[in-house]
Amino acid sequence: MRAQLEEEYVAFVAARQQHLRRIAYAICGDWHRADDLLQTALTKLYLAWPRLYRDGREEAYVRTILVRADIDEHRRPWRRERSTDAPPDRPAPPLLGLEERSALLDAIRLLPEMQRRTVLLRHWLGLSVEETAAELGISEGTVKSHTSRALHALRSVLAEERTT
Amino acid sequence: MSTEIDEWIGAEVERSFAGEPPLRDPREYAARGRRAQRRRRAATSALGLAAVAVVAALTVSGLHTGTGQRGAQPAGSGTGPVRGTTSLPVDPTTDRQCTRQPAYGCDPAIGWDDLHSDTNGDLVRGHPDVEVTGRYDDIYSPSYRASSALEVRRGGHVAWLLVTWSRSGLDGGVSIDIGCPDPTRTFDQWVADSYASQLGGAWRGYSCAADFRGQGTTQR
Repeated sequence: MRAQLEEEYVAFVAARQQHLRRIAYAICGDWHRADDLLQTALTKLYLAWPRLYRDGREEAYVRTILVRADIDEHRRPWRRERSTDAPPDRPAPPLLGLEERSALLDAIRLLPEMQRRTVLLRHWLGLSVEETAAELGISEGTVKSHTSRALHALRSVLAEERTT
Repeated sequence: MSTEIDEWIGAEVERSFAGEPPLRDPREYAARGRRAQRRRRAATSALGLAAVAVVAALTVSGLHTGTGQRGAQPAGSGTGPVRGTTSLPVDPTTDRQCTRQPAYGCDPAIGWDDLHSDTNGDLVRGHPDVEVTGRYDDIYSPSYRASSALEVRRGGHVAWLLVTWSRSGLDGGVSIDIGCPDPTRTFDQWVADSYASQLGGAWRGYSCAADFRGQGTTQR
């Protein structure tokens, strides 16, 4: 890659890596995995940088790779769920302090994978149904149904919080 | 309801980022990219050579026997994946002159979280009582135009904002990091520190030492 293009790549990463890693974290819920996802995405971005930078699509490309890398990771054989007699002994995910926990965050984390990704892309990043469908590789109708189900679950949490 | 739940989800997700680990040097990613590019080129070359070898072998075989064999296996399948090491050849020429980190997280009572920026660094919401008193654009590179640093005042309070956004401008990817003013630094120095903490080296030739000695900021 020519020096000028590489300088622009580095400037992009410097400016946006925090935001992109937060997207990865919001998707997967673990900072270490978020780092891995971001590394995968940014390495692929480097290879495609001259073309993507010219078109101004670098961020959308990285987001798509982050989401799909997370989906790929969930499909790997060692991550498939297995039935066991006893629950696995694993460390709890690093959660916030007691005062910072919220019922909503817990509810978001408990959503099925695709519903969580859909909610984050639509309602946190503000992507349209069309953009969300493109980034997740699913149809617009599926995006709408995932969003609807997820919001139904989250609204019930909101209603409970209002009553307390 | 949709806007309300958007803001609620947004605020809660942002809160979940507390305790975020430090970011990597962006040049690490460039170094990994270069390695991946070399691997890809090596693999492409190997495949090309293998294809040439197969064609040559089949041609020679056909010339000698007069009957071409079908179903020949392509060579080169034993090249295997190239594995990288964990250490990265990061360019060591960058010296970090301004290594003080910005003190993120202003007093929430002051309330800067209502500020929102457009994809050109301009504040678009929650700003009627906010005055922008300092601004630098294109912080990370003169050619990568998707960042601004703002010094803003509300009442008697000051905050320093680092705003970055997606160049496509379509996907709501604006992020704002808020720094509390530090009495030992100027806004320029904070921008230089923010640059240095990401990329190392001096921001636009800015010398932190000048401010550390209390000689004021460089006028640009």
